[in-house]
Amino acid sequence: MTQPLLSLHHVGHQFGATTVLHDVSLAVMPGEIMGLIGPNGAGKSTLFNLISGEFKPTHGHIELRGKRLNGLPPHTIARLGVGRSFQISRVFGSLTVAESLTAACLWRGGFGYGFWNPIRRRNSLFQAVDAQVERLMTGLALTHKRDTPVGELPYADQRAVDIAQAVGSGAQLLLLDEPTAGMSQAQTAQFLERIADITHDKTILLIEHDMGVVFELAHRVAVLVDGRLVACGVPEQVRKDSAVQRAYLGEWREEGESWPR
Amino acid sequence: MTRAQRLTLMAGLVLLAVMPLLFPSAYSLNLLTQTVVAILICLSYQVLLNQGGLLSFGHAIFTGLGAYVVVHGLNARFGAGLDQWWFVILLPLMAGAVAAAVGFMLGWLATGRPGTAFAMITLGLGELVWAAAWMFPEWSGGEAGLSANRVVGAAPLGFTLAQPWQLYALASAYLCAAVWLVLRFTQTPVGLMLKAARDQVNRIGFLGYDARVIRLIAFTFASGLAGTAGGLTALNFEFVSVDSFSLQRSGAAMLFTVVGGSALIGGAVVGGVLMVAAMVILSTYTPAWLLYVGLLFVWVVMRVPGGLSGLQWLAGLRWRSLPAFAGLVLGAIVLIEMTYHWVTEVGAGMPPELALLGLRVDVSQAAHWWLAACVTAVSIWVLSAQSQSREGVKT
Repeated sequence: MTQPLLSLHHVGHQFGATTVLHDVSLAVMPGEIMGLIGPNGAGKSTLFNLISGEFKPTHGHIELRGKRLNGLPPHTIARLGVGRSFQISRVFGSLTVAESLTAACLWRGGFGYGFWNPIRRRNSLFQAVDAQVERLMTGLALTHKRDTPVGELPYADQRAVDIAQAVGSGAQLLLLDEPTAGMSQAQTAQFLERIADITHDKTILLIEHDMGVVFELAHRVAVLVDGRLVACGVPEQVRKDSAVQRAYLGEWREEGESWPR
Repeated sequence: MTRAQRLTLMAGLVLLAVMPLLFPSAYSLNLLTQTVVAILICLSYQVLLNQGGLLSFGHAIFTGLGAYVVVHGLNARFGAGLDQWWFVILLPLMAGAVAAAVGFMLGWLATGRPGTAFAMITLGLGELVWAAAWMFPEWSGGEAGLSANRVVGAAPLGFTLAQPWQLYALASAYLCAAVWLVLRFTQTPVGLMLKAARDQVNRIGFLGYDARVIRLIAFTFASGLAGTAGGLTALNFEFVSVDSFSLQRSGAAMLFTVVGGSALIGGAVVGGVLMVAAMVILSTYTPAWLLYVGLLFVWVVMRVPGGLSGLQWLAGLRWRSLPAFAGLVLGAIVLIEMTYHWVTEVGAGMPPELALLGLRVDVSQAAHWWLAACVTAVSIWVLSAQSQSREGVKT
């Protein structure tokens, strides 16, 4: 059996007296797309913050390829191959598209904390980074906007840049937090097609409210309710799971909404 | 760099070379040297503020330190057998190196967090260094300060630093080197990540960069530049006192850099020129100069967020508003000067008349007060009416 890329062992997290995650154990296999769903406040974003090092888990441990991530700062975890996008885009508003993507590729490109040589002067390193930046821009159809400040781009483009930055950092595992939040159904489909090209060889953990998207894209789906993992399996299985229906899908049916956005 | 930026930079170089030929008197050369140094101070601050979005209240630590390194170096050179021209012209560089080393150490404390925490820690460190300088009067000279002599005996081409133009040339050379360094720095990995962290400090960690290390490198670099600027100040005045570490100096660096604004080099130039115009020239004409500086600062922060070098504010100007604006400025200046004259001079038994912008004003006559107040009030009324009619057109 292959080793999981990411594994969570009995992970729990508390903010003061409030427990937001209870005993979550989960394994994500290399190349897999795992959907992470659950109602608002279920602890999905907290889980991302624990994996990426923004918070330290108060219980259990997190491993990437068997290496413990607990307590490592975000930049170390990023260097190990975890990239993430954010529910609310954190893009570099005044940097151009090309600059933003270059910034994302620098560490993986071997530039380190260089403060003497301009990026372009280090030819051998720069060529690889530049090629990667071009690939990302081509993949996202942003090449013609390369010199536009990211802050001036349309919303969908900003989200695309945010994800491309996570890809550019050389991550094997991508944590995508509602990449299509705020988009219409048509926009969502178009957007997912756009990012599919640059993310096809990545392992992805995806938070998504659009059930259509999740059940179509994900190989497996994990369901968090009130900080507990209530189900994890292939989409068909999760759809039929009575615990999920009771705790989660059923609520929406009662409210008369088939697939909440 | 774009073609326009290249041309602007070339024009700046030409201006730097031509100014001493246009204004060759010792007084104006001294003023020019001070301006060049002030530009260098603002440039060092731009690395923090413009490039990194970091607001430091402790910049005088490094300008002050640089000044002391140069004065102590000048005084120690005779005993050390280093009374050489090259030693003296390299002293500002040494000042920069020492300031950078200290900047690295203090930066460890200050750069842990961005934003308010950074500002507060630099404020605290600035006060700490200022207090420490008072505690070691043998080293700092206290309020009376320390003097030095920059002139060296023999030097090639007579470059003994005795002539004011020689000091101007030296300061200009250091400024050019600093501009080159800063422009180069912006293109390095750390320079790019510093800009990225200014926009989204919480993002760069997830790209593999520790934001603190980025800030620390930038802080060290800015400190080094500030140290060189301080060293040149000391070389120019051949004097330094604990005043160099005062909060006012830190505040001036911050204030004029903010007024200078968002263009990296252009902002430093505007800031530096205004710094000398206000602190050296305006202060000889009026005791109210600091009030004018404050008004300018408030106006820029409120109305011109990109600073004067941003140039967008010029597009917002309306020619037909100009007379009323001039009236407001004139009326306000007369009122401020009359008040100052009344409180400080007349109270001390001086005559009630003062010469002001070619006018003879008598603060004992109510009519003069009324006239100034009316000009100011009417100007404000016209300006607000004009801005309202403009908004009316928009909606």
